[in-house]
Amino acid sequence: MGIRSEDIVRALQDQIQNLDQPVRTTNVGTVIEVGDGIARVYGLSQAMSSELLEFPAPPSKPGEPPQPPTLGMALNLEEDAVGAIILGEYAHINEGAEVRTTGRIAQVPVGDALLGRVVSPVGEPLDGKGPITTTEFRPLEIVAPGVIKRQEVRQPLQTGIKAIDTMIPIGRGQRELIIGDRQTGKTAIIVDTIINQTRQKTGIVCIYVAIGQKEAKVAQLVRTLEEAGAMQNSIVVVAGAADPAALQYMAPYAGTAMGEYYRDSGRDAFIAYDDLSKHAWAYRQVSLLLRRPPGREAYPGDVFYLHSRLLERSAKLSADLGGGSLTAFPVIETQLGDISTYIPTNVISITDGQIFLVNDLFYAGIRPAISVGLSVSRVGGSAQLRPTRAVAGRLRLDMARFRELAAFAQFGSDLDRATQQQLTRGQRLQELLKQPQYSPVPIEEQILMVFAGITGRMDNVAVEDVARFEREAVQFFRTTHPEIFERFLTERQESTGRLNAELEAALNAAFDEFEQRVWAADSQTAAAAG
Amino acid sequence: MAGRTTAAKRYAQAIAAIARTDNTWEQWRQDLAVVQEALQNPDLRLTLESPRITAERKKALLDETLGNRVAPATKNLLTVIGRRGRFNLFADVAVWFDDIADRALDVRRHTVTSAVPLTDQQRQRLLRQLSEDGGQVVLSERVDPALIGGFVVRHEDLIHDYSIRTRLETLRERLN
Repeated sequence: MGIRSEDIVRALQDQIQNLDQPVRTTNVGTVIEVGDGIARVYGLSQAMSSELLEFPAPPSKPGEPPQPPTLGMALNLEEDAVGAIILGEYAHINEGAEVRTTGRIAQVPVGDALLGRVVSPVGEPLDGKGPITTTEFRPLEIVAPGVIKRQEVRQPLQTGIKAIDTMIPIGRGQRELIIGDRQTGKTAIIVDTIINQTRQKTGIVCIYVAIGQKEAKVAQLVRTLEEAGAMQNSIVVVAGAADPAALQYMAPYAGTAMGEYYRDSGRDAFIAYDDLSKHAWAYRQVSLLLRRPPGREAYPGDVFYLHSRLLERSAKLSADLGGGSLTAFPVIETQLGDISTYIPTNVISITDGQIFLVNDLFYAGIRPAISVGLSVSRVGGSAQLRPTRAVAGRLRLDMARFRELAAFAQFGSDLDRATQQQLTRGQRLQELLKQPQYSPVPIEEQILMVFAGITGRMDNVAVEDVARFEREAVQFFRTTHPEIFERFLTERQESTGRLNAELEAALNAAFDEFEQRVWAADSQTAAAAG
Repeated sequence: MAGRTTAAKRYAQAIAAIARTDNTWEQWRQDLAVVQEALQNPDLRLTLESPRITAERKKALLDETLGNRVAPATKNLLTVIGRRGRFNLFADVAVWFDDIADRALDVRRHTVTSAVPLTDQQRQRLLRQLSEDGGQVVLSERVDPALIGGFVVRHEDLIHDYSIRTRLETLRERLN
């Protein structure tokens, strides 16, 4: 990047004109204790809470330009000293080193220049794609919008995952917790959701915040997003497992500040915090090193507020403020499926529902391994498309009955017809809800297939043929009856919990046509071939 | 480097309270300096900090070393510090006490660092400016050619930077 001569002239002019003023008044302090990413600094009597501090720069190598000063953030303001976290390397900071205030509250660059980039929690690029030039900065910590500034969740955010969009619907501005043991597909749900936004061209900007994760895993995720073309409207904020706890503590706030830029400019954004258990660990470490008193499980007393103030910033703004939204998917990793420990219960109580992933289901081949019984969405229902809501009610009910019977039916084979019928239906529905990774399904196709499932159109289809039935039905409707898909997306009729009678008739007629013309013929060829 | 231990601050506050009632600030300052000087002797220092030597023995040793050079109150302070095994804090107590005494006597210590030594005229002007806020201004001067030009005034933890170096740095930041 070249510097234009007129810029230099203007800067010099500016400088010369301002020469009469004292250039800088700073507040300084001396390091009295440093280590573990924490420093206690004597002096700094005028430091503000969460103000950025300048520590000495790391020594530069000969022949290279001097390094920028190491930054810190004031967290504890005490009688004579300030407890600060150091954002980055701290090996070169000694006792007695001079620390200066900067007058800036901790902030991150925001804006469209960050799209497609992988950045650190202070907004520095980590992907080697050159510097990020933005003009706008936002503080890490902002008080969440109040009651007047919000409106209820009313627009859906489609994840492209059948089990979620139909049974645990998410609205824009909602906070939905993803909770489960390790290796149960928590991150997969987020990746699919991000990919779906690009495929469906929803224009929702996606932010993925990786906290305390293996760098290799993050690199892999970024590659997946790039291959799916989803990176262009995504931002990845990384504080890896090797980064100081201070950076891990800051990461979700940095990501949220970047998301708020979109929320406040009337657009929609989606943010995933992967994961908040590690965030709580990082904060516990920072707090204990700053000598804040430990509480339950040695977490500091404000660990609830740590997450509640973060998640409150995800909101749907009122129409006067542009109606933008920030939807959050916090992730919590449980140990051995125990959701009743400290941090999981905290975050469950803060969020608007949870998606609970279960190990047993995962290994039984039901993927995504969502436990339908334990997962809820407390606000998303009102944001669902009308036809989705109409078919999903029955689906939940059928699945609930199926689970009840399936456990019971294992003990005996003497079942009456009605029970057997429900088991048949349930098995097909369960099969229908399975979905491979990285293949989000458009909502209109989901509605179509759930309709087919709950009206018993698949009862005579063998369980292993359900996927083929789905594929062919979707293709048939796309080519022969695109108007039905169109109507799914535009249907506005007030919900009575049922599909519009006329639409239902049209659907049934089209399905009859499909079964006679396509499915019957195909099944014959399949049988002949088999 | 003198530390800023909080425990030392409590001792300093205690003796400052005595100094305030008796108006013996300067006496205390001198005494603390005398004791500090005596503590420069590593043998004495180690003996006093050692937990194996009894308080009586230490007291006797101090009486012998300091003699009549310090006030009885100072000796009492040393006894109290000794009884609690806090001789290692003594340097910090002196640092804190200086701070408190300066504030009580309204002494304002400024450090001025300049690129070239100040002329008398410059010094007078600076003193006049600094005295505008009242108080007794004490100026200590340092020369640092790295500043290129201008000067930097420091009072406690506030720095007013009028140096050419900082201006150039600001200019560089703006151009980047």
